[in-house]
Amino acid sequence: MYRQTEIVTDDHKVFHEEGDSEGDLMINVGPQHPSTHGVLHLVITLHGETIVKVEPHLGYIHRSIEKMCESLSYRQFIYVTSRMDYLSSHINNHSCALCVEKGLQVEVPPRAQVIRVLMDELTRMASHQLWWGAMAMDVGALTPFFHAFRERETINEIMEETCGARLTMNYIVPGGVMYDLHPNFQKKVKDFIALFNSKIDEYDEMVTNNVIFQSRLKGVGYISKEDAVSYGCTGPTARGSDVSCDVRKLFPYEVYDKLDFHEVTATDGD
Amino acid sequence: MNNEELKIKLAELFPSASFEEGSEWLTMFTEAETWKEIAMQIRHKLAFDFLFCITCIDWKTHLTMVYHLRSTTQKHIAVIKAKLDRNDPQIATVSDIWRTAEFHEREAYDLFGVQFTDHPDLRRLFLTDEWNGYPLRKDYEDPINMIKL
Repeated sequence: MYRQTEIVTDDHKVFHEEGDSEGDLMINVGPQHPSTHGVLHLVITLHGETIVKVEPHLGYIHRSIEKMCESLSYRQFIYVTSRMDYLSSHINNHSCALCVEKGLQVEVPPRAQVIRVLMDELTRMASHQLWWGAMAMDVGALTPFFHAFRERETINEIMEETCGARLTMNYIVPGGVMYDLHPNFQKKVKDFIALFNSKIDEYDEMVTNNVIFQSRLKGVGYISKEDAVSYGCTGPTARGSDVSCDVRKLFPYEVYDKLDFHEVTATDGD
Repeated sequence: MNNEELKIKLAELFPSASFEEGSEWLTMFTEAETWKEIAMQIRHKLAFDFLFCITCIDWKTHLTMVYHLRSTTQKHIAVIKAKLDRNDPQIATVSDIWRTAEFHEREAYDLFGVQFTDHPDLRRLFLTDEWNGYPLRKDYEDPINMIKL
């Protein structure tokens, strides 16, 4: 039996038929907590190990980006977007640059477009490495985290040579990119791809096929397709519930319409 | 449906609405009073099931609520704007139509002061409950944290 974790308010009638029954435990998760990965305060009511009610208290990580950027120029905004999601700073820079270019009706040279897409995809891989490593760590498996970071390090070194920074790159700017690629870039990326292909089986063995991992995550937190759309889920949350929402496929930008790739969706919803 | 067909359909359903030209997505202006019926109609008749953005813009003379909607089945996008009075901004909630609106409307209330009628739980989202003022408005003053250049 799967219980949906519903966001509820004080008015139980509207959202949730079950009230607090006896034996329910109300605990605080956060704001400082290793699993929240950034500050998030949740007041959770637990019935055994099932979450019955969640009340989030948000705002700890609200950085007033909108208000702050009212006094910045468009070029200065790139530095803020790097820090919005520091795991994938190229992607945020890119989206800001695209927005400004659309407003100014500026055409980006094709080489810059391809460089941007390359950087984006490398960042995506680095971000995903951290994601699954941290998720495994949250579930209790500490070792995969280091395996994940080993590959992330390789990507960060490639980035450092070309962009000058490992985390907040500020490389993609409105109009193109800051510098051309480093001469070693091509060789290093090809070596990395060959290395990574061989590592994926290792990750599968350690994490995906691990029986503890599967029993902890299978069927937990199920969101149906209608709920995912109604709640406005995007990204992996929506794709896990079979909602096709990859922006690279729906509204192709840069050279994505010339690239051949599959959008990954799953129907399990968990 | 592309923008032209969508515009014809919307003009048919809501004869009093006006449209903005020149943007990539079809933009429709409505009155705040009629927003709830419009929302119900477009949700059910035109299959706009994905509300992907709610914002408020502070033009210094008035506020504008902006809703971005997409249809996951028919792949069209529309933007709906409703003008609000600055001194008493009120608009109907759509959190019963699109569940995502609940938190986004709380944010708009928190940062702009827009009152959403019939919202199930309208209170501040990011700031503490005792906070005075609405930070994202252009006339917000905060002598401690904001530096005037």
